[in-house]
Parts: sequence; C-alpha cells; structure tokens
Amino acid sequence: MISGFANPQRFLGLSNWLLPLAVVLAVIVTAIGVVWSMLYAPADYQQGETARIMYIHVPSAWIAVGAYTGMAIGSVSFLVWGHALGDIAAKVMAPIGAAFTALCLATGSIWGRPTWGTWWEWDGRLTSVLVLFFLYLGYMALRSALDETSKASKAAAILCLVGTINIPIIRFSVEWWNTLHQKASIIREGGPSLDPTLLYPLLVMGVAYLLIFAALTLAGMRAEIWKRSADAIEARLQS
Amino acid sequence: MTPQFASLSEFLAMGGYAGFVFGAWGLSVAVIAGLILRAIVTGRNQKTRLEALRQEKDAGTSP
Repeated sequence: MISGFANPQRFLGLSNWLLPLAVVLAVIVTAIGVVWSMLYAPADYQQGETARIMYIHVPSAWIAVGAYTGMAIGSVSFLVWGHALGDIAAKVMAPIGAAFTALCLATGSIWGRPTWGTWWEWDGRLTSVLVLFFLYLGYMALRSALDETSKASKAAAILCLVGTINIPIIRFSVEWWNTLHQKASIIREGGPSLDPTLLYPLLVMGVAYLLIFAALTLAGMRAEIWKRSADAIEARLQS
Repeated sequence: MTPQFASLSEFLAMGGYAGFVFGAWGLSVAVIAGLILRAIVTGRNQKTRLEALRQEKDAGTSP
C-alpha cells in the first residue's frame, strides 16, 4: 500500500477506486454531520445557538494543521528518499490547507464577535494560526517563483520543514499565552471536557472534513501527475 | 433524538444569531464548493491536455 503510493503510475491505479470511495463516504458522512449539528445537537447553555459555529470551525482547524503536517511528511519523503509523490502531495495540499486555514480564521472571527465581543485579538492561538496561513502562502509563492520544477520542489520542501516549528506552537499556544482562546477540550489529559451531545456531532463533522480533504487531495494529485506527464511529452515534442 | 427547533422560522432565526451562524456555515460551504469545482476543472483540463499530447506524439512517431 505505502510503496504503491510511492509510484505515480500505481498511485493512479489505486486512486481510480480510492477517489470515488472517498467521495461517496464524504457525501454520506457530511450529510449526517450537517443534520446532526444544525438540527439535533442542543444549543450551548452559555453561548446559545452560536455554538453551532463550532461544528465547522474546529474541523477546519484540524484540517489546517493536518494538511500542513501531511505536507511536512510528503516533504521529508521527497527530500530523504526522493519520492516524487511526496512532492506532489505537498504541492497539492498547500492551497487546500490554505483555504481551510482561511476558513478557520474567518469562522473563528464570526464566532468570536458574539461570544468574546471582538472579531480579532492578538491572542497566541489566533496569531499562530495566522502565521500558519502565511506559511501556506509563502510556500505557494516560493513554488511559483522558481521555474525549474526540481529546484522549486526542493526549496519548497525545506521551507515547509522549517515551518513545522509552528505546529507545536499552535498546539501549546493556549497553554503558553492564556489570553482569550479556550484551552484544549478534546485531546487533553482526563479525556474530552465537551459533553457527548456536542462532542459526537463534532467528531462526525471532523471525519466529514477529513474525507473531503482526502478526496480533494487525491483528485489534485491525479491532476498533478497528468500535468507532469503532459509537461514531459511537451518538452520532448519541442526538442 | 428530537430536533431542537419547533418550526422552520425558529431554525432560521437561530436564537437571534442567524447572521453569525449562517454566515459562518455559508462561507464554509462556498469555499469548499470552490475547492471541489477547482479540483474537477483542473483534473479535466490536465487529462484532456495529456491525451491530446499523447495523440500528437503517436502521430509524430508513426510512419
């Protein structure tokens, strides 16, 4: 399975059934998650109905951090073992991760206005996620600035790995700078502090976002493999 | 489990926070729909381009 992912042609074969599977699962889980979180989950006793923003804000934050971690793994496999698919995965995940980071910041801002009384605060968590957004933009800018693909891939992979220092900073920002954003309430010592009636629909939405992200990444990787094959043929035809 | 809202108008009111809740959800739907559309279009474009180039290559090499 893993070695199958390292070979572009075998990956195309795998993606022929993995992509439709991810799409079907994403549609089913998203439908369940949306209905559960919008209609059946109870309103928060303090925040009222605004707590329904949580079901899209928190999963987008998971994908924002998860996509960057995925890019870092792809970059390592490219730099250390020369796996082209690691480079392709990192390149494809960057704009998707950037979009989910933007969603995380925007939905957090919309949620912050009625609950915290402000759209934005230079809080540790908010600022470190904003830095993550800029890291995504910098990665994409660097890739598009270098014409030669192999150089762009290497430079971008190194930039990506340097930026991973931000991932633990995001995780622990709520402990180190205890200003506004709440502390970890799901992956924490002593188990989740969120009530199951709110936690379960949130986890379903998390799986839904993960499946959407997986489908987008698989589709993007296929397109990138086709693009590179086409570029190679074009170069040969022109020479 | 029973729905939390007794009527459609109650659902649409969102306890007075409709703008915030539907604003955040609407934005998320729009961005994710944009990502899906982009994935479909680039996939289709690159596949057509590759197939056209493969045909061109085969036409050039055949006697």
